[in-house]
Formats: sequence, C-alpha cells, structure tokens
Amino acid sequence: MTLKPVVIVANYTLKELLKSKVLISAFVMSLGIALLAWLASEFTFGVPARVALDVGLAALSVSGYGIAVFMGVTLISREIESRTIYMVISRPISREAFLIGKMAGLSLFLMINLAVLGVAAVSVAWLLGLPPSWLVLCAFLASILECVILMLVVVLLSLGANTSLTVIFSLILLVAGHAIGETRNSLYVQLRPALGRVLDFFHYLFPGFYKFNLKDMVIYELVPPAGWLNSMFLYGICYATFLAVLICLVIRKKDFN
Amino acid sequence: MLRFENITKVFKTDILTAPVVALESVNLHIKSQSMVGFLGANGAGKTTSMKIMLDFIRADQGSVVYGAELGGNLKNALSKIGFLPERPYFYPHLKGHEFVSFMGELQGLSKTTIKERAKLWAPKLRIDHALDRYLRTYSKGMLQRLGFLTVVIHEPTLIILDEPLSGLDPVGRQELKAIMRELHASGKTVFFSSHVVPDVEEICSEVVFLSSGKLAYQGSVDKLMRENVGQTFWVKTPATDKILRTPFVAKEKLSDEIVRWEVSQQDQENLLRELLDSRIPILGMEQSRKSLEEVFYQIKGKVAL
Ligand SMILES: Nc1ncnc2c1ncn2[C@@H]1O[C@H](COP(=O)(O)OP(=O)(O)O)[C@@H](O)[C@H]1O
Ligand SMILES: [Mg+2]
Repeated sequence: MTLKPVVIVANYTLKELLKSKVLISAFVMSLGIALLAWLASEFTFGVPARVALDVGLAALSVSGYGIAVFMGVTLISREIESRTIYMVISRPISREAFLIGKMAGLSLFLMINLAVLGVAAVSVAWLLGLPPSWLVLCAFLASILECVILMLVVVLLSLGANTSLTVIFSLILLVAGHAIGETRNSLYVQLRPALGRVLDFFHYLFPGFYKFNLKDMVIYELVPPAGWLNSMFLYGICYATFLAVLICLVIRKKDFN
Repeated sequence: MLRFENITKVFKTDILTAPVVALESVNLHIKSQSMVGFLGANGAGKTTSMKIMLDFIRADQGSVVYGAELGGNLKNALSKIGFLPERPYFYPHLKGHEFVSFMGELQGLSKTTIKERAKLWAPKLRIDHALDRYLRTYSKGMLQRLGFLTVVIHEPTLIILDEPLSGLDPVGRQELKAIMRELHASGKTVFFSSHVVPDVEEICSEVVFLSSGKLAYQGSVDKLMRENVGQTFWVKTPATDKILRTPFVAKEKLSDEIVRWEVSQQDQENLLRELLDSRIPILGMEQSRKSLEEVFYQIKGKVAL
C-alpha cells in the first residue's frame, strides 16, 4: 500500500467535512462549553477554576464521542449509498488505502474539533486563575486517542452490522470500557476470582477506554506514576493499529454492494 | 480486452428469502476498440456484471480476464479504465473542480494536467459554467456530466458506463451520444449499459444482451438482424384490384391511393417484373427494417424456453 493515495483521500475527506456544518456547530458548542464551565464554576461548590476545567473536559469528551460514533457509522455506508465509492475504487487505489484515508480524514477533523473545544475550556479555566499545565495537554491528547479508537471500533462494526446496531454496540463498548477499570479493582470483584477472569478476558479483547481518562489527575493535580503516561499512549497506539489492521482484513473480503 | 469466463453470482440476502441468481455462467467478451451496448431489462444483471468487472463484488464462480491492453491484471487495468456508476451522487460539500482534482490526483495526474484536461472537456460536456459551484447545487444531469468528465480525465483505454443516458434530457442524450461516438472514433473502447434499445441501436455496432442473468446474445448488430429477420422488401404502388401472381408476405393499404407490398428477397425481382408487365407504376421501393427492439423481444422468448 502506497501512502500517496491515502493522503489524497484523507485530504479531500477533511475538506468535505470542514465545509459541512459540523465545524460551525463545534464553534457554537465551544462557546456553550465556555458558558457552561463559567456557570458551573459560579453556582457549584469547589474551586471555580477546577470545576470549569472539569466540565469543559467532560464536554470535550462527549462531543468527541458524538463525532466518532455518528460520523464514523456512516463513513463507509454513505459512500456506498451515493456510489461515490465506485468512482474512487475503480481507480488505482486499493480498498485498504481508501478506507485508511477516509478514517485519517475523519480523525483529523475530530482533532480540529476537539482542539477548538479544548482551547475554549482551558481559556475559561485560565481566566478563573488556573493556568494550563502539560498534564492538561496530555489529557487532551489522550482524549483524541480515545475518540480515534472509538471511531475505529465504530467503522469496524459498521462493516458487519447496520447503522442502529453499530451505534448501540459501540456505545455499550464505550460504557463497558469505562466501567471496567473501577469494577475490576472493586472489592466485590476481588473477592470473586472467576468474575475477575471474565473481566480480564473482556479487557484483553475489548478497548479499555478508562485508561484514557485523565480528568481526575488534571483536576486534583495528581502526578501520574512514572511510566504511566507512556504505557497509556503505547497501549492506545497499539490498540488503534490492531483495529486498523483488522478493518483492512475485513475490507479485503467485503462485497461493496 | 476484457472477458468473463463462466461468471456466476448469487445474492443471498437472508435466510428467509430465496437466493437471487443475478448472473448464471456468463461468458462475455469486450473486444478492443469496439463500442458495445450492454442491454437487458431492469434487473437483468448489468450493474452486477460491471461491479464484478471492477472487483467491487466478487463472483461466486468463474473469472474475469483482463487483456494485455489493460495490463493483464486488475491492478494494472484500474489505471486504464474509466467507470461511471449509475445515478452518481458525489460529495455535496465539494465544488465541481475539487471533485475533478480529487479523481485526477488518484490517477496520478499532475495539477496542471488535470486543469488542461478539464478545460478541454468541461465545455464539451457543458459543465464548465458550474465547476465553481458546490455539488449539492447540481442537478442529476449535471452530476452525470461531471462524472463523465472524471471518467475521461485520465484518457482511459476502456470506458465503462452504467446507464449513462438515463439522467439526461433529450438534448443531453444526443450530446453525450455524440461524445461517446467521438471517443470511440479516437480509438477508445466503450462499454455502456442501457435498457433503452434505440439508444444502443443508434450508436453501437456490437451488443451484449442479458436476459434474467443469462447471456442471450453477443456480437454485431448486423449479424443479429440478418439471422433473426428474414430480409424483405417493400414496394409501393397505386391502389389496384389486380391480383398478383408473385406471393407476398403482406399487403398494406397506406392510404386510399397507395398500397405497400412486402415480398421476400427471392421474390423481389418477380414482383418488379410483374408490376412492369402489368403497367402498374412503382412509386417507391425499400428494404424493410425491423428495429433491434423487436428482434430482442423475439430472442428473449427463445432464451426463456
Ligand atoms: N445486493 C443485492 N442483494 C440482493 N440481490 C441483489 C443485489 N444486487 C442486485 N441484486 C439482484 O440481482 C439482479 C440483477 O441486478 P442488477 O445487476 O442491478 O440489474 P440491472 O443493472 O441489469 O438492472 C436483480 O434481480 C437484483 O434484485
Ligand atoms: Mg443497473
């Protein structure tokens, strides 16, 4: 697989997405987030700047999930319905390159969106007296990685299931992937080794989304253990690569009909 | 140039409905530099065949053979083929020229080459005025024209078009047919599907005809007509009560004054001699023509048996 067609597809996919209305809604949302963060800091207990950052980062994650799930699910099916995919893959580009290009384009779009929202959240916190730290940047990068993995999961599922099933399954995986971290460490599970093994199995196979959640660390200014960040990013990148390879294997056999 | 060897494709949708046999042992052959009309009723399997040619879907049995002109295999062939799907609909938020660049870049063309070729083809396709507009504002016919532009942008050897005339108005159809003729005259091979027989009859010398997933006929239109229509002649004379000795196939009253006699080829001379001898004026004479469409109804009946 050569890189050039991938770059071309990614470029035009991004161009198309940037001109759709979604980015404008991200700007509107970022204003909303800033307002929400400020309101939350005014009307709740706790240090205002921390509350603002907490709310802002949460909103950023949620909008990232939204883009990953709802734009990922139609990424390929829309191409087939509009028969655009036939215009593209009847040219000298492999199916794999096409798909990777589409996903790269959507990932870039996701990053741009999250960056807009992230800047809004961090600015409000800063105005309230909490300057940005390198940990906030890590939390932001982790959030992007998480959303990219979620998007890959969604695209993989969408190759085999219809739109609504794909959305439901991926949301289940998202919730489960967040819950598993705390559940595995709970006393209830630790007293039941069999259940622990089931959860471990789930963990090895399905994405452990909880790993990418750095919000608590950011808010309470905790210092992550040595090597923790590295292993988190390594896990994320390996998992994303694994999903991308799986998608390529599936796409090779698929009838585009 | 491109051949189907015993291609069979069965669609299994779900367990409850019976599988659909879309193509059954189809052997077809697109000859180099031919202009082939791909005919068949709706659901005959034309689109499915094209999808198999381009490897969008895989046949259950049989193989597609890409000739030396196409580089001998699918991978090489893709840079020498231009394909337009039926009722194409492209990225709504891209502009016309952006979509053209996208397709051209995928073919490995430089930006200047893409510009030059677009400049050459856009006016011919009457789409030059709209290249700066977003595709969401395009009509069906305009999308078809833009699609055609991207099909020829890399000067393909083989052009495959699925129902290229279906989204166009009568003028547009004539224009596109003229362009297809021109491409064919310049040495390209053109293979296009249609369920409208007269369009094909007008511009093609060769046809491939599918009927319910089976190959009913392929070859030249002339040969098909010769084999399936006994050649007859029409002779027009003033209305007369005289009973002729020459056997005729049909006698038709065109008006109160004029009748038309239809005779077989071997009786043509006898009829003319008899008319001359009887001093009946001959007002006109021509070879009778059956349309390709009538012939297809005829052979479709045979295939169904
Ligand atoms: N994805 C599919 N699933 C099930 N049946 C299909 C599918 N695609 C095509 N068919 C069936 O295959 C037959 C041929 O279809 P098609 O090739 O589209 O015909 P045409 O292009 O000649 O109108 C039809 O009976 C159609 O219903
Ligand atoms: Mg069709």
